[in-house]
Amino acid sequence: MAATDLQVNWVDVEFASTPINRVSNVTITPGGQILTYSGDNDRFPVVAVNASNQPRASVTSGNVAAIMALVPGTAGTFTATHKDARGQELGDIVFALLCVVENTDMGGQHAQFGQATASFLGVSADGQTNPLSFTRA
Amino acid sequence: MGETEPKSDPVEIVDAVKVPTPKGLTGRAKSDAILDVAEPLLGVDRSRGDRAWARNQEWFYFVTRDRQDTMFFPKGHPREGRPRYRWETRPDGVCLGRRVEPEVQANAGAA
Repeated sequence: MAATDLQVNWVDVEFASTPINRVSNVTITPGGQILTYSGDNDRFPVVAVNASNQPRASVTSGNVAAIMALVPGTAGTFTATHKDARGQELGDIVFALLCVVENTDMGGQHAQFGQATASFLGVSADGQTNPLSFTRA
Repeated sequence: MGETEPKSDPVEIVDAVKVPTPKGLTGRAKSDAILDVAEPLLGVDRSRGDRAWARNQEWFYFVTRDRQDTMFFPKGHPREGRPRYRWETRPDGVCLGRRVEPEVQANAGAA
């Protein structure tokens, strides 16, 4: 059976080889930075280019202590696997972001489970190679 | 003498691959098309746990076995900004990358 083109749930989420469990959400973004140009009598942009990127990722977890232990500025690799909806072979997508911890925040309402979110900012060693990569599993 | 089996050229394993961004494909079909090209060229053996990591470079995908790899020598390296691979372009637009000789890297700062 072929992969479903649908992903459900995240597994193997970790930063700098430290696992993060109780994961309820992960976001991955290539972080496009659109630069627009207009001049003369233009009312709307006439040129729009993706001049630079700031790839980012974030993870939200119920394991508040694990998230709050991450120190902003710490460098490492954030990885997360988005599972194929039917668990088909080669249907999982694995993301990796070479990054630093950007920020952490946490909270919890009365009579609800607390949760915390860590955000990561991609860093490229040569300034040219995208620090965000993917593979299949 | 009996007939001999037709010889097939052995596939040379390279260190990096640039795959042109597939046109007309989206989502899973797009990423599969990229990795289907790159994995054999990189000698990826899934049974050993190998993976091919693809990075979107807008016009092409840079794919290697190690997700830490970069196209150029990193900031602070004696060869900062210079290509880490010698590239050979195939007729289909796929570029095959072979690492610059390790001796050259090691001696780069001595010159």
